Amino acid sequence: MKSGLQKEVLALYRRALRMVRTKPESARSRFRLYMQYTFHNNAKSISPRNVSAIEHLLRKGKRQIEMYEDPAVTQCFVSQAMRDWQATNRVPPP
Amino acid sequence: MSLFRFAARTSALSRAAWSVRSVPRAFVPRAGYASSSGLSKDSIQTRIFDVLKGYEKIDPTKVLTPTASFAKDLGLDSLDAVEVVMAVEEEFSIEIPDAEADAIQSVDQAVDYIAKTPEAH
Repeated sequence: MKSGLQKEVLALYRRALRMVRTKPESARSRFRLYMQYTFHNNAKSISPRNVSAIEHLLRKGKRQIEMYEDPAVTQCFVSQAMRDWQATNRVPPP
Repeated sequence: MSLFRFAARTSALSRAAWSVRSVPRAFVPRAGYASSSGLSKDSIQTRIFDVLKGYEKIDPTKVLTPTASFAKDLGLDSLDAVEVVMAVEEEFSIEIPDAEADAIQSVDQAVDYIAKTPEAH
């Protein structure tokens, strides 16, 4: 069974991925990678029992996604760390 | 001339046109919008399998079963499951509300949800 906090995180992730779909086709993969990296990395580095840290990140993430939802935002920064993470987290094509 | 008189006159003029319109037409069979959806369970399942094979964290050579659970059989965490359900949404061009999307944890649950969603296509 899922806790209320986990549901909130998943809802925020869903909202983030819906935001990615509204972005121009050419920048979508960058937005997607940014969101995937941020959520997965935070999920890995913070204990599920550390409720106050998760709540803090939820509030921070909500504000950040509100900003990204602005149609004026059309580009997204992707760091080398994100690219490396993407390369290691993918099943290599056969 | 009052508006009502004018209206009566125009309708009298167009009576000929009405009679043409009322000719009974043969029933034209169209898509049955009242049925659950035009998709068979098999085609839904194949399309969901294709979505899963296209997902970067699932080995495309892996044999998928109709009852495979995202977490136990495919080794996905809850965030990955959200991504998979979003990819399924995109495939069938629907939007699944949060509460229902949280409940989808396996391939057969996804198939059932699509089968009972009339907007899916």
